[in-house]
Amino acid sequence: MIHFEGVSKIYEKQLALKEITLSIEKGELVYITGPSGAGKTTLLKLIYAHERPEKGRLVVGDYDLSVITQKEIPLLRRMVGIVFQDFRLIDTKTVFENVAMPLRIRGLSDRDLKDFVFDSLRLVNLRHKIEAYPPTLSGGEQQRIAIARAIVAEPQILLADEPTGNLDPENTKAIMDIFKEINAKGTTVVIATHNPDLYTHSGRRVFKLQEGSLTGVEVL
Amino acid sequence: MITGYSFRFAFESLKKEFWINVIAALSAGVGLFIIAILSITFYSINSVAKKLPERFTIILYMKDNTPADEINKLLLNLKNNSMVRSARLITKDSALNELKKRLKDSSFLIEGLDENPLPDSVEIRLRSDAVEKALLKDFIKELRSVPSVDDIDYGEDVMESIVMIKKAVETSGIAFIAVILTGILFNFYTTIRILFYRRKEEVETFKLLGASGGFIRAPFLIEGAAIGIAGGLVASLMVFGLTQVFAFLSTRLPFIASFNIQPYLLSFLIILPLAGALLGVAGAFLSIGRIRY
Repeated sequence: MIHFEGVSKIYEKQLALKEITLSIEKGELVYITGPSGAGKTTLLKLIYAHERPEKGRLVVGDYDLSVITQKEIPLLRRMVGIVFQDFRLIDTKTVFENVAMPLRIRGLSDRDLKDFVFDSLRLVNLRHKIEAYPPTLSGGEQQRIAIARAIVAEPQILLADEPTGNLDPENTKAIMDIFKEINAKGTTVVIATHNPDLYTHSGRRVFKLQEGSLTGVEVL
Repeated sequence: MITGYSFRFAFESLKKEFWINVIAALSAGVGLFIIAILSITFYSINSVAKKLPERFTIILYMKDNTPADEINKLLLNLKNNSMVRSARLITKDSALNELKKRLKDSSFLIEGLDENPLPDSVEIRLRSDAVEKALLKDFIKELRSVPSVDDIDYGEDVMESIVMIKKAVETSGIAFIAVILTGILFNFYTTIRILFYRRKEEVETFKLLGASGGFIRAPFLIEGAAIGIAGGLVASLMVFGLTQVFAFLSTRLPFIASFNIQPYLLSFLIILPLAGALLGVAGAFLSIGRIRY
């Protein structure tokens, strides 16, 4: 589903990722780990074409990202659901509107998208917050709204960047359970985290990054 | 891609940035009003110029002792000419009688004359579509070449002045309209740019979620169109106000009646909002440019 072949990314003459080669299969749930600045976010950004590789070949689904056109980028992003580290919720829109956004982008009408939004919010246990605005929600609730938005259009790939950062253990567990549930339905899930509690004893592949290099892959 | 959501997004923004939009619509309205006034001036000058040949008389003074059949032949030729509306002979006797009538109390001035000094003449009136200066010049040249014609009087100076004024108004008017149109376009360009930057975060999120260029652009194009229509309506109102002022003035100042804009009022009420919408959409389109991912 996702194939990196010798991919490098340079930011202002500094190598952010060095010759990364890895493959993530369809339906897998994997972790990308490493300390801050190791390149986890950059690796995710490359997958949804927010950044372009300077070197190497990167294939996501049917798209070869080294030759992808501007018109194809929105189509690629529609097959990827993203949980951003800073959530990227729109403060002036209600929870319903925030979660409905990926469906509106796909051209669904109000009537057609309602059920998808309700199902998604039910999955993250926030159906009752439908009329609320993001600034009135706690960090954990905002995180769950971001997840609901990422999964509402049933993407083939789900990317989550530090999805449990600053959350208490109870919220962390709830969110990890949601990811496992989504993965069980066949979605490929990639979680970038520096928190070892998430992947230890998970039985999943863990890609370890250190200063932009892939230093190992383990099943933990 | 324009959806119901695009309209909602656009109208939310119109409400949220109310004053920016009001100022943009008013500026566009004033610009469109000036364009409307210039167009009305064009029309008025054109219609005056068009009617000119109808009022325009060419007098051919015939040489003394020109035989009657030659004059009749000339009259027949003139009547068959497509530029001529009418041609009639004024004999030297009727011309003298006419002169006497005009002189009234001063008719003693010509009483001492032994013989009638006035020549036979032919009065020609032109069709309204024969206003073209070049055509008229050719026609006059043709008449001058008739051997029995002694002299021609056709108010050349007046004709030339009108044509010159018409040309000057046209050229400067077109240049002025082009400048104002550019100004209006720039007004929309900057307004939509401000609105776009105010929602930059939102737009960036849309892009990351897979929105197409069309989806992102649509609300701003709608917003441009809405501001444009509002501007057009402002201009229409101003034109309507002007018709009322003209209607009032024309009862006191008769020359105002020749600048009658009442017949164009309905066209302006439709054209101005439409022109505003087009300029608004064009300004928004230029302002947003290509969406880059």
